[in-house]
Amino acid sequence: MALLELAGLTKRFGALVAVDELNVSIERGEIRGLIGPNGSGKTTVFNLATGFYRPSAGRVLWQGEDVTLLSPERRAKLGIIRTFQQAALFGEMTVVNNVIVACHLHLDVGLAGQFLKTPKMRAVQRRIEARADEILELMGLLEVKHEVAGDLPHGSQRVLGIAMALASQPQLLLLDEPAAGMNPVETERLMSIIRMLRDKGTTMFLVEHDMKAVMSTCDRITVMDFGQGIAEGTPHEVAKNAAVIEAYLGGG
Amino acid sequence: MRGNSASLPITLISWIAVIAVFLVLPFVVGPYLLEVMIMLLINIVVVASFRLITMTGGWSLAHIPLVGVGAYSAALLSKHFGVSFWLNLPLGGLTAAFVAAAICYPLLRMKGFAFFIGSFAAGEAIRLCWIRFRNPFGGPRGLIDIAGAGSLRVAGLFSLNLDSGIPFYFLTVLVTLICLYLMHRLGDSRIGVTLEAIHIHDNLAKSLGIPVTKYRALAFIAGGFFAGVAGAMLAHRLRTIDPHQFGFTTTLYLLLWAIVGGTTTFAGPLLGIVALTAIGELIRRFSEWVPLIYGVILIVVVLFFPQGLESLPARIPFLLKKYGIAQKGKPRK
Ligand SMILES: Nc1ncnc2c1ncn2[C@@H]1O[C@H](COP(=O)(O)OP(=O)(O)OP(=O)(O)O)[C@@H](O)[C@H]1O
Ligand SMILES: [Mg+2]
Repeated sequence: MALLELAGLTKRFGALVAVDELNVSIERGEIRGLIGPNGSGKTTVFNLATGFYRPSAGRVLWQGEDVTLLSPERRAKLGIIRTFQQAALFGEMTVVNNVIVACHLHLDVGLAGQFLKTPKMRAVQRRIEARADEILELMGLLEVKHEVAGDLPHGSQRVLGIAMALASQPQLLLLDEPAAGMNPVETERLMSIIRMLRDKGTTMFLVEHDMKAVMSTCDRITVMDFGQGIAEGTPHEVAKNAAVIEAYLGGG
Repeated sequence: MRGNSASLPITLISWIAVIAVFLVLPFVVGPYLLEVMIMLLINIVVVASFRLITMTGGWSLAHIPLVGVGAYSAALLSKHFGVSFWLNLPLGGLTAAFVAAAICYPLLRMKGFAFFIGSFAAGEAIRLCWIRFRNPFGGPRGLIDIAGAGSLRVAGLFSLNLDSGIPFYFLTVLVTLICLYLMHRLGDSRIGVTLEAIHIHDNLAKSLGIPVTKYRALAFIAGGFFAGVAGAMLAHRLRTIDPHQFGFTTTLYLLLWAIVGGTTTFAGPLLGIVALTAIGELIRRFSEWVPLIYGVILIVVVLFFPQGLESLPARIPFLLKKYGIAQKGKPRK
C-alpha cells in the first residue's frame, strides 16, 4: 500500500484549474521529486496534500485511509509535515526556540502539566532541548542557536525551516524548493542530508528547480504542466520523455 | 523571562520598587485616591487578562462585557444565594470563562478585522441580555445593594471590616498579585511560547501540528476567567453595577491602556494603565478636556513609540544619541 496517494486530485481557483485530476502514489522510503514549470501547480499539490487547501475533487489517502478532510494539524500528527516555499519561521524567536516549538508533536504533557511545570514537563523540556541541539548540529546551525531567527541570512533561514520540519520527526516530509537561493555547495550539502534522512526511513516529496540536484537525489519524479501530471518515472526515464522536454522547452 | 533588553536585576528592582509604592501609598493618600488605587488594581487584572488574548493576535472588543459577566455573576449569586465574596471571585471567573467559551467557538473562526467586529457584536449581545431581561439582571438600571466583602473574624479574638478602605485595598492587592502571578506563569510556560508562535505565524504553527484553534480558545477562555474575577471584585466594591459600565467607552479605555503600554511584554499593558491612571488624576480638573488629552497621548505614543511605553527602556540610548545628548561611560552596541 502506498504511503501517500493522491487520487484524481483537482483544485480550481475560479476558472483556473491549478491542479487537474492528478494521480500520484508515493511509496514508503522513496524520495519523490515533483517538477514542472512555474505556475504548474506544485505548491498547490503540497497545500492539498497537507490540508491547507480543500480539493475541488479527488481524494488524499494516507496509508490507505482517506484524510481529505483532515486539518493540517491533524495530518501533521499523522506524520505529514511540509515546509513552505517562502521561508517560514518564527522570526522574533531565537533559532533554538524555533526548533523547540517545532517539537510540539513530541510534547506529551497536558496543558495542566505545562502550566504547573511538573517534573515530567521539565524532563520532557530537557529532552526536547537536547533534541533541538542535535538537529541544529546536523543542519550546521548550532553556532547561531541563540540568534534571533529573523536576523539570519536567507540561506540559513531556509535551512532552519527544514530543521523545524525534521524536529517533528515526519514520516513524509514535503519540501517546497528547499534549495532556492542556495549556492551549489549548500545545495549539495542539503541533498546529502535529504539522502541521509531517506536512508534513516523518512519518505520525501521534493519540489525543486535545480535539475542537477533533483536528478541526482530523487528515486522517482513526477512532472506537472498546467496542473496535469504529464510524466512519471526514474530520473533517467523522465529526462528522455518527449512530453517533458516539450513542457520545459515550450515553457521557455 | 521572554521579551527583551531589560536585564534581570533591573526588572527585579523595578518590580520591588513598584510593590513598595503600592504598599506605602495607601497610608499617605486620602480616601478618594485610595479608591482610585483600588480601581487601578482591579483594572490591572483586566488589562493583564486582555493581553492573554492579544498574545494570539486578536483584539477582542468583548473583553469588558466579560468583566461584566463576572460582576453580574457575583452580584446575583450574593443577592439570591448569599454566596460570599471569597467564593464569588472564582465563581465570577468561571462564569465569564464559560461565556467566553461559548462565544469563542464562532469568534475564533474569524481573523483580523472580522474578529474585531465579531467580538464587538458578541459583547453587545451580552450587554443586550442585561438590558433586555429585567429579571434577573435589572435592566438598564442594573443591580444595587450588592453585599461587600464582609468581615474577617478570628473566633472572638478580633474582627476586621474588610469593606473599609485600607483592608479592602490590601485585599485587592492580594487578589491582583495572585491573578498576575498565575497569568505571568501561563505566559512564561511552554503554553506561552506556543501562543507566541501562533501569533507570529499561525500557518507555520499548524504545519508543525500545533492545534491553533484550541490554543486560541485556551487563551480566550483564560483571559475571560481573569476578566470575570476582576468583575466580581468590582461588583463587591462598587455595590451597584449597570450595563453602561461595561459599554464601549470602557472598552476604549482598555484599548488605550494596551496600546499606550504595548502588548509585547507582560509589563507593557500594566505600564500603560498605571501611567494613564496617574495622568488621568492629574488632569481631572479639566474634565471636559480629558478625552482630547487622551487622544493626544494616544497619537504621540503611536507616532513616537509604536511598540508602546514598554519599548522605552530599550530605546533610551537610541533616543539620547539621536538628539545628540552625549553619553559618557561605556559605549553600548
Ligand atoms: N490561493 C490561490 N488563489 C488563486 N490562485 C492560486 C492560488 N494558489 C495558486 N494559484 C494559482 O494556481 C497556479 C499554480 O500555482 P502554484 O503556486 O501551485 O504553482 P507552482 O508550480 O508552485 O509554481 P512555482 O514554481 O512558481 O512555485 C498558478 O497559476 C497560481 O497563480
Ligand atoms: Mg511553488
